[in-house]
This record gives sequence, structure tokens and C-alpha cells, in this order.
Amino acid sequence: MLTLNSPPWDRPATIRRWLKKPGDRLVEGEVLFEAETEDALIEVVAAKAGVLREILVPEKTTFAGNLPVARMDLTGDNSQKSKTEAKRPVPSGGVIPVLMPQAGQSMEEGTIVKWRVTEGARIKKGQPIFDIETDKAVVEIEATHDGRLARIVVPEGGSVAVKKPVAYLAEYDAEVDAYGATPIPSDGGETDPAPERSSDPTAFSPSIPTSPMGGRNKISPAARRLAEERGIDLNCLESGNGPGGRILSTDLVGAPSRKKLTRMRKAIASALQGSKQTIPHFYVRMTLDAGPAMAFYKEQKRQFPCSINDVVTAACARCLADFPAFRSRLEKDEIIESPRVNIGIAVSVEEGLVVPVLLDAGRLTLAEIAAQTRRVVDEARKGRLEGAGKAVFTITNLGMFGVEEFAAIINPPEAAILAVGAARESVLVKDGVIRAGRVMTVTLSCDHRVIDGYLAAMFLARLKERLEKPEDWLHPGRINH
Amino acid sequence: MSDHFDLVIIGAGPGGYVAALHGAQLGGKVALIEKSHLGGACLNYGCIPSKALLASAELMHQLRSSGDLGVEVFGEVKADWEKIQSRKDRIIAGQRSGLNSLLLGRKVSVLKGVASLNGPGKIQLRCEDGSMREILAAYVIVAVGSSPARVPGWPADADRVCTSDEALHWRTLPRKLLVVGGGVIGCELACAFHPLGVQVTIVEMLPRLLPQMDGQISTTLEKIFAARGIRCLPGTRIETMQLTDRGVVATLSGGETVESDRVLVATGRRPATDNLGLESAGLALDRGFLRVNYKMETPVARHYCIGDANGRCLLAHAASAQGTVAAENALGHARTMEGPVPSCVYTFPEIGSVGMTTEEARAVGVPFFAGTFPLRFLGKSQAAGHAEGFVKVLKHRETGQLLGVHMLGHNATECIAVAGAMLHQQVSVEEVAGVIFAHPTMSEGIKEACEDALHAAIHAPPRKIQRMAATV
Repeated sequence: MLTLNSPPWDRPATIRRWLKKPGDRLVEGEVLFEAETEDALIEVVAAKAGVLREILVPEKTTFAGNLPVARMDLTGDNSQKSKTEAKRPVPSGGVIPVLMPQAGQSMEEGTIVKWRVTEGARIKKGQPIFDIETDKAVVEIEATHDGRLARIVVPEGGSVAVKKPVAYLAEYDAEVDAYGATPIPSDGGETDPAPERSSDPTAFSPSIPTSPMGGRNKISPAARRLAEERGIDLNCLESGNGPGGRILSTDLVGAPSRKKLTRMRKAIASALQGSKQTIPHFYVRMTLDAGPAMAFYKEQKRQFPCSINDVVTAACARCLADFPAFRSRLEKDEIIESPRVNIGIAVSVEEGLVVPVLLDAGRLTLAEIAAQTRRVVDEARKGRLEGAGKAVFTITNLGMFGVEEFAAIINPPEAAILAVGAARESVLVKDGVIRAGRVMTVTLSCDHRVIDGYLAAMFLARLKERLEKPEDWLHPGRINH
Repeated sequence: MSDHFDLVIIGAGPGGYVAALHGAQLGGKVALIEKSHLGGACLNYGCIPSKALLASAELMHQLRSSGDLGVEVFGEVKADWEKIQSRKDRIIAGQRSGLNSLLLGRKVSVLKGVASLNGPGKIQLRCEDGSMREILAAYVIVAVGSSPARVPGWPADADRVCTSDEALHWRTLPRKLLVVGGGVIGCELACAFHPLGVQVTIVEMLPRLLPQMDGQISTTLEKIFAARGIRCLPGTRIETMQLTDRGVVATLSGGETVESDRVLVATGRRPATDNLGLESAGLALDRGFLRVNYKMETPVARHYCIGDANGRCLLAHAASAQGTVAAENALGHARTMEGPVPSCVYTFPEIGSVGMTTEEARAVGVPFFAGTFPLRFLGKSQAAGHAEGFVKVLKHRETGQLLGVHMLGHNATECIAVAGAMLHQQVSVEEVAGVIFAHPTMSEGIKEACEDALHAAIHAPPRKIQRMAATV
């Protein structure tokens, strides 16, 4: 397959329309697509004859020129290829299904976010053909066979269970029909955000609309663009404030937006719903004097970057070492106790929530806890999750937003989670004397099947003791166990 | 009369009086303070007087070529400057009294005198008889406008080195006029004086006339002016300006000296925000402007600023629109300033412009395509004897949205209204192409230019198409 490059025009140009589509025969000198610059219309012709295989730059895209815009086969190549193919034994029926791979143990279904090839394209083993989104990342999927991609049955945005076909390889479309392959609608079959650019040949008709007044709701170009950017479903809007109900960009303020659940959102939804429905949660809350921990971390901060959350993590690591029940999980009729103090840190990311893990926190100094937490959180925000699923206990902190206290849902298969509130200014009473200071409220959510109230109270009391006297046990440069 | 008002507006220009009338419509008790004449710069020193002079000038201009239309004028055609002036004065007086009746009809208290703030919501008014009066306002709208900038260091003789304030009311015409500044005011007045027999030279520091307009408009107007005998010197600075017994002598950056009877300084306008006591209310100026947000609110609660004084857009219709917005916000109706503001130049041919210019679109990096249509292809332009000019529209190449419309030609200032309405509704050029325009009109040029942006103008030869090869 050969790459077709656009001419090197002097100023950025926009592809106005493609006159050829994948599978079309190209005659030398025939117009491939039209492009516009600020003041000129350019017709771009094919320098060689052949077959257009794939369009790489879609219509309405602006670029600087001298860029690969399509892939093609030369006519000569094509005939040669079909000769060699004819010699090769055709697999039974001539149809090979392309399956949704299982990219990870927990993966049950995958969503196709992007097709890198179009129907009719010839693909090679090892060539990336589509991208899927799992609950953790976007993964590029390579072809496992050579062949002609006769039909895509799961469109972009569509989901399908693993090991189910997403497309079929075949020399002839009729073979796929005979194979019984039918396109499946994306996810549930309803409210599919209609693909903007169809491969329908009418999409290439002249650009003057025949009836601009009639038909459905009119939408201004600015509104359409804004809706695309913000995921606003324009079907939710009956009409806008423009003439004849024209929807303007100003009408989108306050419009409901409808977005499909991302893989991450789905994973969060199912894990937490499962947790709340199967684990008998109970909650224990304690307010402690945050002054000493504040003073301690500020003192340490002179030597290395560290936060109050790192002090809380260190204290939890120590308490987790003391109380094995908090490192345990229930599996059928057994309680499995983990020797390692792996602490999950809840991190909000753009699409939701992830829990990177600080492995063996019990063996780390405060400086190491601070540095490692920073690193795993940064990595998580970039989409790389460390130690996923290995935590025995999770810490979630909303204190930076001024939240006083909250109760969290246990992240299975863990037995408990600690929700940390803000170190806020408050009145402290000690020995009948009132003074101003800072307090912090922590809430422990526990799995009652593994942990009882007494144990939870002990854990919190120990945590309070440690946080109120950090200098007694916490030596920044030393492991404290 | 009580000295407490819901709304006190300082300045009765097109911003202030509209705010007053709208405030009264909304049921507010409104006072409008003016130190000079009702109508502000627009009615007294700007829009209206200049259009009155331009009407006489355009007729003179047309009479020169009346033979082309088969009308022979025998004898001497003479412009009587005195009569032109008195006609203009009558028009101004008529408009002022009409405005006064409107204000009376809405029960707006018109207070004559010089106002200054004396703390938030407190206004000191020095009345025409010299007496002082204190007025309390729940809401204050500062609408003091602007005045023409003068160049420091140039001769202070206002009879010979003038601004538009004086030029519009000259009792006699100069023989030779040097216009400094090729902006809207400079171009309009050059265009007005030239047909009346004045030899005009325009000097503009920037590389083209009308620097805010689309470049193609500027260069075309410059050619039209030059062909008519108006000397245009863009990209030129005035190095020195001296009074001599023969008149005013200016030395240009090229070394050339230009002698003239009078000089019109049209280098811009400055906000008239001095001596208003703004600081007493906690209001600070930024380069003379009192800055506001989209609701026309100043940083101090209950104090608004509209029109030229806030520096957003120095146009009368922008001031009026802002006046409505400020009055509504003051009287409890939340409003923000929205939509594109058209700008017009009343040269002949006229210029109408709304939305992005080519230069702005390039600066922002918007991918655009410019569709153009020469007005000479229209039946109406030929029939009316006004074939010069063109329409240019900018289309967003990816979304097809109409980004700007620029028109140079007969009646362009009227035609541009339709383009403003379309931009306000954020339409695409395809939709404009789908609108039915009356035939024969000059506005058809807008539709045709939109069609050209779609490579399908009906009344123009097909665009030349470049051909390039995609290489393997």
C-alpha cells in the first residue's frame, strides 16, 4: 500500500470534500478531493492510477499541506496481489471474524473508540486496526490476520463483549452476508449519537442545500460545534431562541448534556454498587487535634515536599501493621490476611476516580511515602495506574476542598476505607480550658463481616494518638516499624 | 422637584438619552444631565452634521457625471457653503427639539449643567446660572462620551489647525485642506469637502486608510479617492507642523512639505472623563476610559458606564445598545451586551462592515475562506449608475459559519443591516445563500458573495480552480 501526500500548499488549507471514497478506482489526473485556502479553490488530483484504500484526513479538516492524506494501491500492485491470493488456499467460507480482545483479566466488554481502517481496506497482520477503551486505558488493537476488511459490525462508540466479532475479513461482501454477520447497534441500540460523517454517497453532493428552510430543528454552526465540544445532545433541545426556533450557541447554556458512560465510569459504577450492596458497612467517626500533625509536616516540608495527607498515610501504615483485620479480606468462608501494607490513595481524574497503590507503605519512611505518593498520583493522572487491585486499605481525602467529614464506600476486596476531612480551625477544649486550634475529622468505613465496632474504635483511637503526637513515633528519615 | 432619582445619567448623547428613555419606559424616575446640547457628539458634532454635509457633497459629485445618466445641467453648478451650513443647522435643531419632546413625553427630568460625583450615588450639579445642587441617585450611568484628540506640540490656532468639532461648523471653506488621519472621520470629511472644490490631501500614519476595516476595502477606497483627485498618503507621518503667513506648512516623513490653508486633525477621539470626581466614588480610569463588564457595570456597585467613555466601541449605535443594557441592569432586568456591532463609513461609495475582517481572522488563526462579488455584475448597480465596489464575506472553512461581511458600494451602510442580523443569528453561508433577496437591489451582492464562498455565485464567472497533484 502506498501513501498519498497532499501537495505542499503555502498556507493552511481545509479539505472541502472528497470526491473518491475507499475502494474507488483512481484514474491518473482525476480529482481526489477539493481543498480551500483563504481565497482559492484547489482540486487535488491523483498522480498515479490505482485504488483508493483509506482516507486519512477527513473532510472539514485544516492542515498545512504536505501531509499523508490517503492510502492507495497502484493498479499494477493490486492485480499482482490478487494473483498471489488466488493461489493461497481460501479459509473455509473465506470469512474471518475480527474479535474484541480481552485486554486485561477483568475486562468483560470493550468499547471501540476509533477505527483506524475503513471498510474495504486491505489490512496486514500486526497493523493497528482499531482502538478500544477499557476501564483503565485506550488500547490499540492490531490485526491478527491479513485480508480485506469487508465489514465493520461494531461502529465507533459501540461496545461488545470480549471474544465477540467486531468486523469480518473476506474477499467478497456476499461471503459475509452468507456468514450471517449483521451490524450491531452501539450499546443498547438506542440514542446512538449518529456518526456525523456517513459514507453515504449523498454526503458528497453539492454543498448548496436544496431546502434550507424545511426539516428538523435548525442549529447554528457555532451551536453545533459547542454541542460537540461539551457533549450536549441537541435532540434534548426542542428549539432555540433564533428565528424559527433556530438553536444558537447562547441556547446551550444550561442545556442538559447526555454522554455515554465511559469504561471508567462503568467500572466505578459496578464496583461501588457491588460494594454497597454486598458489604455490610458501618461507620466510626473521630475528631482529633490536627495541630501537632500540621506543625510536624510543616517542619518536615523544609527538607522535602510533604503534605498532611502523607502524615496521615504514615500513621495509617503503622496502625494497619498493628491491626491485621484491617489488612484482611473475606473470600467465601475464609479470611485472607495480607502481610503487606499496601495502601490505596483515591485520586480524582478527569473521567472519574482511580486508586493507585503505595506498595509496602509499612516499609517506607515519611520522605519515601511523600515522594512515592506524589509519583503514583501523577502517573495515575496520566493514565498509568500502579499496583491496581493490590491495596488492602484505601485513604480518601477531601480536606483540600474544605470538606469537614464524609463517609466513603469500601473499595472491594478491601475491608475498610478512611475518609479524611479538612484540618479546620476550631475551638479545642482540654482539661476544661478552651483554646483555638485545628481539628480534623476522620471517618472509618468497615466491613462488618471482618471487623467489629470494638476493633474499629481501637484502630481510630490508635490513629488519633499517633496523629496527635507524631514526634513520638514518626522520624522522617527512618522506617518506623 | 425632589432631588432623589432612581437613575441619573450624566451625558445626553446617543448612549445617555437612550438609557434615559428606556429607564423611563421601565418605570424608573430618571434624570438626564447635559452640560451642552441634547444629542451629544453624534447629533451636534458627528454623525448627523457630517451626513448633512455629505448629502450636499454627494449631489455635487453626482452632478459632475449627470451627463452619463442623460441629464444635462446648463450653467454653473455652485455649492453655497453658507446654505449647506444653515441646512445642517436646521436639521440639528429639529433633531434636538424632537429629542427634547421624547424626553418630556417620558417624563425624564433633563437637568442642564456640569455634573461631578461627590461620593457614590451623589452628584454635584453646577447649573447654568452658577448655582449648585446636590442630586442623589440609586443608580448612576456615566455617559460622558469623548472629544477629538489634539496633537500636543502642534499650533493651538483652532481656526487653522482644527478637529472635526470645528470643521463641521466652518463658516467658510478652505481652498487647500490637509487631513491628518485616514480613519473614518478623516475619510468622510475628505470625501465631503472635495466635491465642494477643496483640494484635499489625507496623511495616515498606518500603511492604509481605514486601518480597522478589511484591507481590501481600504485599498479599493484609496484607489477610488486617488482617481477622484483626493491625494492619499498612507504610511506617512507628520514630522513638523508650522503656521506661516501663507497658511499651515507640514513636513512629512518622506521630507516633502505640504502647504494648506487649514489642517483637520482626525487622529482619534479621547474619552471626556476629566473633572468628573469619579475617584470620590472609588472609580478609577484606565488610560482615560472607565472600564466596564458586559453588563456595563463599573467595579463600583450601582455605577455604570456606557458609550465612548468606556472604550469598548466608539460608535453611536454601540452606545445606544449599551445604554439599554445599563438601564435594564440598573432597574433590575439582567441584560448583557451581545451580538456583532456593524460599522459604517459614509464616504461615497459607502462602506458597511460587520464581523471579522480578513486581518482579524488571520490574527486569530480561524480557517476562513473569502467569497467576493463585484457589484458591477448586479443589474441594480448598473441601472443606478453606481457600479463600483464589491462585497466580501468570510466563511469558516470547517463549519461553514458566516464570520464577517464587508461591503464597499452604493447603499452599503443600509445593506449591512441584513448581514448584522444574520451574524447575530450565527448562520452559515449556505443559509444566506438560501435566503431570497429582492431583485434588483444592491443587497443581492451579499447573497452572491456567500454563494461565491460556496464556489457557486450565479452572476459571476466560475472561479479559477488551481490544480495540484497528490504525490505517492
